[in-house]
Amino acid sequence: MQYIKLIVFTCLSAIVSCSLSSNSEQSAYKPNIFAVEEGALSKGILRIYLPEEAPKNLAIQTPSGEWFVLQESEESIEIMPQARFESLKIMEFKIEKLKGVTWRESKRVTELVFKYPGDYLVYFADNLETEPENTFSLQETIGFKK
Amino acid sequence: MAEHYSLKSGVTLDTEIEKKVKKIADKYFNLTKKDIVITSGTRSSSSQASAMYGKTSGGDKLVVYKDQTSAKEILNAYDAGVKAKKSKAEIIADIKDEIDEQIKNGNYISKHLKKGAVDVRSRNMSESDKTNFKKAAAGVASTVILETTPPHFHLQF
Repeated sequence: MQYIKLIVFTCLSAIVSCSLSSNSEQSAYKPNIFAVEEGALSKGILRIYLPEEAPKNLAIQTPSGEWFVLQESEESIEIMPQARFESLKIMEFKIEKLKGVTWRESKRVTELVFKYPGDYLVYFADNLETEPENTFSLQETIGFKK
Repeated sequence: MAEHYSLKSGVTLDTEIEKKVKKIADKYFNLTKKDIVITSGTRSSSSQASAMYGKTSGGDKLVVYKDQTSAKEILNAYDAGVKAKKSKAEIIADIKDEIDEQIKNGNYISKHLKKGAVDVRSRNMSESDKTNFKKAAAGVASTVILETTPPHFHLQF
């Protein structure tokens, strides 16, 4: 299991770790409020502001309804180490390189998340496999134009 | 004999519900040779209150809740607590009281506040697996819903 975890972590984090930053424009930033900065998307950046207490997992739903898991440490899916994920108040990812895990006909695959223009749901939750009303969750829909 | 179901970390089921889950898991295994994962069970009002405090304190206006009347009551309890400069624990206790009152009146802000609510992993199931799961659950669970946001099966016993 540790070996799988290492592979998934390396695969995802190698692409995005250099793009994590806290020195960014903060026009959508309000202290302790969850927000995704839609304006940053046109610059190819997914910028997320997180409150003091934030859910521990992250997934994104694409315009076609497909779900990509980016952070779910319990299932050995990590875009960054869990402790770092839970400590960040601003997350930034380069959209063109952002990968997540999805399942196609029972097969687990890792792929680029932002491939098509349309509305994407950025979904943080303590439990990614129950209704949003049954877990600590925060979500926002963003429009992506390629 | 090995069980054909596992519980995600933190999930507990009462004995009667677990027997029914086992029955579904065994039937599903016979059809697919695959096991199932239980991703959520019944939730207490205090655990629900804690989750809803996290959402409201993070700026969420609780718009995802189908029962907007109950959601607004909870939002009001949160706002009143903040205005009165109450501690986090005190506000969570106020939200819990509100949820308990709603349950007394038959209003459930989450389906998991009802006894017998169970979620099952669907994201790694093929289309034929999903069909087989519905077959396995038919007659054991009173309701079987394939939820899409996020993906999972919701069962009510």
